Amino acid sequence: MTPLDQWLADATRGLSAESAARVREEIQQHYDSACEAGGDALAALGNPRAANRAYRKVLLTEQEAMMAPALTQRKRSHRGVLLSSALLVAFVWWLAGKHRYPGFWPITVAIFCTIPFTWFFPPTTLERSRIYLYVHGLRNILVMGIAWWYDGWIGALILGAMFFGLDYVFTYRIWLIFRKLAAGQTYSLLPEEPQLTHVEAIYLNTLRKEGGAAENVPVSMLFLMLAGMTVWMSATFAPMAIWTAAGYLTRRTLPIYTEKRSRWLRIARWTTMVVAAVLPPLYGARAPWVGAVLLAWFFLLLDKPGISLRRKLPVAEWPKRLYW
Amino acid sequence: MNLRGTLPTLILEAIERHPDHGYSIAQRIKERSSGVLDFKEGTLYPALHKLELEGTVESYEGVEKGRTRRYYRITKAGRAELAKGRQEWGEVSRAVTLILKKA
Repeated sequence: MTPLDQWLADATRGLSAESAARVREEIQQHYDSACEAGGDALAALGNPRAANRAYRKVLLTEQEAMMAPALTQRKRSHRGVLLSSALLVAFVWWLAGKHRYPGFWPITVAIFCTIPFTWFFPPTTLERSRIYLYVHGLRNILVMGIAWWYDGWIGALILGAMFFGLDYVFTYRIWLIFRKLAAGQTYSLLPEEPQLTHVEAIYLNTLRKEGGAAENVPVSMLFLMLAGMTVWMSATFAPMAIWTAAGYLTRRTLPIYTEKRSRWLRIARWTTMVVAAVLPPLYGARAPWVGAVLLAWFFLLLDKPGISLRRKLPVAEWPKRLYW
Repeated sequence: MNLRGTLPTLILEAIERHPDHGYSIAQRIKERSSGVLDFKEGTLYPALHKLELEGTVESYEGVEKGRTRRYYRITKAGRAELAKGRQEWGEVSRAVTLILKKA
């Protein structure tokens, strides 16, 4: 690997295939011209990590390219609307059982008031995503205002930090993706394997790249989140935390990488998941099953692309992650 | 000297008269400032892409000495942005000069 290849590898880390190709092309052209003119062409390029940070802001990243087809081709699904309404009602009911202070309902209504709009006017264009950016900003100010009225500054600041943080991760990111797409940036539409959908192909690509130190960050975040939830509501989340930890340890310590063993492991995983969801009401925890079912639903959603990949790909082509 | 935040205006100025490619834009900025304004060339392209996102420049592929290159040209919105950048810089520079002269 030449020093320029190393510079390019660092500068294009995390970018989508198309963005990385464009960076390689323009930097190679620049480098060739600089070499012809004499001087230290590589030193003149500067720090590749600084360039990478700047590129991620203006070119589609791998994660954004993964989100893009789901955003641009989003269709209104009656089943999805019904399901998310049911989950929303269940979630609010569950929260209502936990909190009994006067600010609960005004704050809950303010938090969820924008959700019905996304069912009928999903943010599928640059203009709509910009509108949602403003709408969510106003909603967050309203939530902070109500929290300040009932709880004072501390409550307002906690909720403000939480919701502005969430909107930075989701709403702002969605707007940024549309902005990049509007400038003519593209992402691959055709997966390498013709039987796979775009989302499945990108998910497979992500699984094939797994193993670096960076992948351990979301796992540690998940464990931190589960630990926090277990301390907060042990009856609901302790079985789920144990289930996740056991699964994590099993796949790292036991030889599960054959089709048969993998099937048994997955059967055991989902059986214990059901047990983990059913267990809390059995030992008398107050209405915690909604929380456990919501968490189980979340895990099922995470596992969904993996389930279809196992059906469509021959076992010989499975990456390690598909075995569990 | 690296004047943070002025690179977009300098890029727009460099391509105001005719479109150019990245390497030539970098060299022109360095030459016209007699080497005083120095920046890492790896950050030039993210700045060009940002201008493209904002609609102040457009890019297209061209050929120079048999080699394919990406050229950048200023748009109408880019000219307006450049005029605004020139005016703002004029005000800032006058104010800083006034303060430093008094000192």
